[in-house]
Amino acid sequence: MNNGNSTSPRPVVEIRNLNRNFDQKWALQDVSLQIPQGGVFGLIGSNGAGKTTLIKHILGSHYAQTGSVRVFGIEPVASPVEVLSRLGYMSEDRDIPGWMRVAEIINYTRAFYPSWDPHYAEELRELFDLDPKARIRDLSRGQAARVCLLLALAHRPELLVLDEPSSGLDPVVRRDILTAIVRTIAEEGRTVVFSSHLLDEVERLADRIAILHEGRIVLHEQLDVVRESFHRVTLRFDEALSEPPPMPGAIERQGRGQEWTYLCRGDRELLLQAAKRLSAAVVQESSPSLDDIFISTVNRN
Amino acid sequence: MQIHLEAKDGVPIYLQVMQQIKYQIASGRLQPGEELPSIRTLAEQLLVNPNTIARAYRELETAGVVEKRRTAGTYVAESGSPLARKERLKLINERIDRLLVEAFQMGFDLDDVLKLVQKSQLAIDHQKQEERSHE
Amino acid sequence: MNTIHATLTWEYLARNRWALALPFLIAVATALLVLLPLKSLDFSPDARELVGLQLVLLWALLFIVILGVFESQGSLKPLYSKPISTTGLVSYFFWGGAILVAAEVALLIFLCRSLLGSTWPFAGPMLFAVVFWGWTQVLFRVSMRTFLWIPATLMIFAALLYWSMYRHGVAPKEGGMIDSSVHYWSALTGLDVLIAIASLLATFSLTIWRVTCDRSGRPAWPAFGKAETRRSTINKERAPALKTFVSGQNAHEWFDFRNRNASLPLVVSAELLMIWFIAFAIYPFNGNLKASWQVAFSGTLFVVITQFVAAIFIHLAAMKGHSVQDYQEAAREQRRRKPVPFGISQFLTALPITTPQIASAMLRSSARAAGIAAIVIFASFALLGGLSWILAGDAGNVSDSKFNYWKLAFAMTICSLLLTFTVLNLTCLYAPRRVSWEHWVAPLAILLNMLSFWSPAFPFVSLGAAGLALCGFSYASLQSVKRNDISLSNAALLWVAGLVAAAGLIFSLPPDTRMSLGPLLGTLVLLGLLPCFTTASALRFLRTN
Repeated sequence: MNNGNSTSPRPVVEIRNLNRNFDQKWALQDVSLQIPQGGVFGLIGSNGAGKTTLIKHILGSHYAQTGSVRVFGIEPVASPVEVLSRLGYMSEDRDIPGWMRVAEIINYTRAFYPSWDPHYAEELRELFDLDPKARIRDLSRGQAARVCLLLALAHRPELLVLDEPSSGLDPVVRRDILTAIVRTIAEEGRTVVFSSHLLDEVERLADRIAILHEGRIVLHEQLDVVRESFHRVTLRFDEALSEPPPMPGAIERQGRGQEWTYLCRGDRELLLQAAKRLSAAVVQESSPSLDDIFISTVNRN
Repeated sequence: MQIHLEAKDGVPIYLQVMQQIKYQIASGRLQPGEELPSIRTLAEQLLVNPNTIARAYRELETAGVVEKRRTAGTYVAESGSPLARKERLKLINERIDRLLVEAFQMGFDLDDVLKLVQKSQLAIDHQKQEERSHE
Repeated sequence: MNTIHATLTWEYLARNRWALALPFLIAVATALLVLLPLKSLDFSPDARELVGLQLVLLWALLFIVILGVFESQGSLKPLYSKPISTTGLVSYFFWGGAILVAAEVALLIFLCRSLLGSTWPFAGPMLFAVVFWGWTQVLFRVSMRTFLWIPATLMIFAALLYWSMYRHGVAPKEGGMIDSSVHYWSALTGLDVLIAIASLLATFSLTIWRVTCDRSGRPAWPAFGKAETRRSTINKERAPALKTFVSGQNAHEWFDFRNRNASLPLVVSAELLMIWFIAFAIYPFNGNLKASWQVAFSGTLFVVITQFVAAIFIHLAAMKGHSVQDYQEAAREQRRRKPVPFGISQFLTALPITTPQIASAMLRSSARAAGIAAIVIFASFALLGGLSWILAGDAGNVSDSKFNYWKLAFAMTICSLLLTFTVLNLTCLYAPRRVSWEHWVAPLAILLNMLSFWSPAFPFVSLGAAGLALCGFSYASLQSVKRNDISLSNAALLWVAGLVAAAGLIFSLPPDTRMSLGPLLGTLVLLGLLPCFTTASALRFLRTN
């Protein structure tokens, strides 16, 4: 498995200084990202943070107003076929035409991809329990999502791009989607990019994450490093305090009286030393979840 | 192999996997020489990134708890191995530490704890005798 | 009017201004298109031939107006859950729509009167319009799920059309269709009013009943409910026949045809079927085959002239994201996804196909649609020609014209084909605010030519439009070759084809009309080929922005 060492091959997606403006409103501001090959990249952010806009740049649906976007080293707007034939995409809206039947849309999509594997497509169709004669508009939301997932996977893409794949879906379908993601990256060299605001999924699956807030990247790091650099400590002071004293790297603090809980980013040792200097006892220490990290990072900005 | 992950435990996933594997080995649910599921299988079962499982297996291997046989998978290390025993000692010591801290916090002292431990042991022995007499 | 009605009205006007206005404008344009040439041909406004024309025109305009009002009102389904009684709901839509339809028809007649200076009456047509509207409510307000609606619709429409024909004195008699007793529907007799009142009451009650059943989820007739379930099960069991696609472009051509363009040949075929049905239906009444022939002939003429109007509707509907399949299945009530213009969805834009390939696929599918429609129309003409040869005893029908019938039929079909193809591919509608000027050449040239029928400077305006079309064509071809949307050889081929076709058409005209009609034909050819150069660049705005 790829560890992201310094001699790794060229990143699958390279975005540099990307800006995007819609009607005087900045959807993306100076965004730079690298997505290395062979891993799962989680893009997180609240609704309207710019995740879908960013993904559309990767697909070539938006041209870069400033900066550059390269996928597999190619510009997606200039050469859509080269990029898109190696890429599988599942949109947030899942807007596949409702009048088609399942068999028809599989047949239609198949014509576009030289690398389409009909046996794999059939295997997925049976696994997802999709009736080929059913019309897409008669399918439930979960079934429609499974169809979109099938269409994104069947040609065995090098890069799988999923925009909010689990939104609005029940746990059974979500399981299918997560399984598909796991299976995809288990095969060497394939990369997954998915955006989600369900952080427990991102926590389980991502190697690297980027937090997008109001169009800016506020965090872009390997998930392990993120987990190790954030700490939650509860300190007990000798006397009751109305205002907690500052601690190095503190992002958030709450509590009252003698006990105060800090969410800090940075070196754990510095933290403990500072606590000792303030003659406070460390009562509890834990690793904050990605949810907490996200909320505090976003609130701070 | 049954592993259960707590989503918001605050403990990183790879660590949870490691701890649970170690516990299962220590409690005998995983026998020495038994094969662990492949990284891919376990990743699919738990729905986590295979890299995470790979890291867990790697660190278990470094600790000597499991051993990786080339192209044949990962196996639980033989119990005679000194590193494995070291791991088991570490595990049990952690439990003892926690027990003592909690006991002291609740106001018991060392003598109380030792007496309670002996009492539990007697109770277990008694139950075993009863089971044997029923057979 | 209670607050719910007030809210509905406000919402309707706020949301649907254009949906209401546009079909009306199209109706006006159709009227102008048909009537203005006649003005320059010096017909007396009250000539008998014009009565028949007025009737056909009335039907066409009525169709457009009713479709426009119906479409702009939208479905009743979203309002079922609101605190409004079924009677209140239906009243609002039924009578409100009737008022709108009557008003639009009155306005149209007023325009025609001022333009043509004729004495076309208001009373008869308005009454007819309202009665017709009532019946469309019964038949179409709630989707019928059995096949029975087809014969029911045909019979009701035929009866209504027959009534209007009868009141114009155009109903078949011994002497044929047009004789001295033909007149406008100026006076409303007591019988007219009685029929209208009875019809309105009946249709109103029927509509309330059907909506009540729909709202409560019951099928209208239990027996038909069984037929409905059988039909849906048959539908489900039928496995789709899958074509093998050679490439993505091939696949998308299939998609575009099924998604929007297939409605053109469907509509044209349905219109012609209805016309032939009516033509044969009146035969038992008077035993006069010639009258039937004339009905079928004028009907086919009407279809060939207004084909492009159907194409406009289809194109506009596609722009709004409707697809033919939605109408076939009456699934517009189930439209839960946001509309996707021309089927260019997020799903499509992520497929590995270049924009010129999408353009090529869309052009091919519209060519196929327009081609099939043209074949159907020409088949109707051919059938008529054959029938007239069989009925050769009557000299009055075909050979009294100075034009060769077959040449005329062929020319009309081709011209209509070109115009329809142009309208199906009006690239200015893909991204109206962003495309450059050459995309607007097509509608502008069409409008200029329509206006040119009105102005005495007819040949000059027509020439100007042709010049504009040529400029646009040249510029667009240069741009598209520069952008690599089309290869140089293909572009050259199109130029050659255009020149040859234009020359061919112009020289087939009688020499005295070449000066006046020549530029028009040239424009048609150029506009027909223009989308080959402009579609890709317009689509680019839809796909990447």
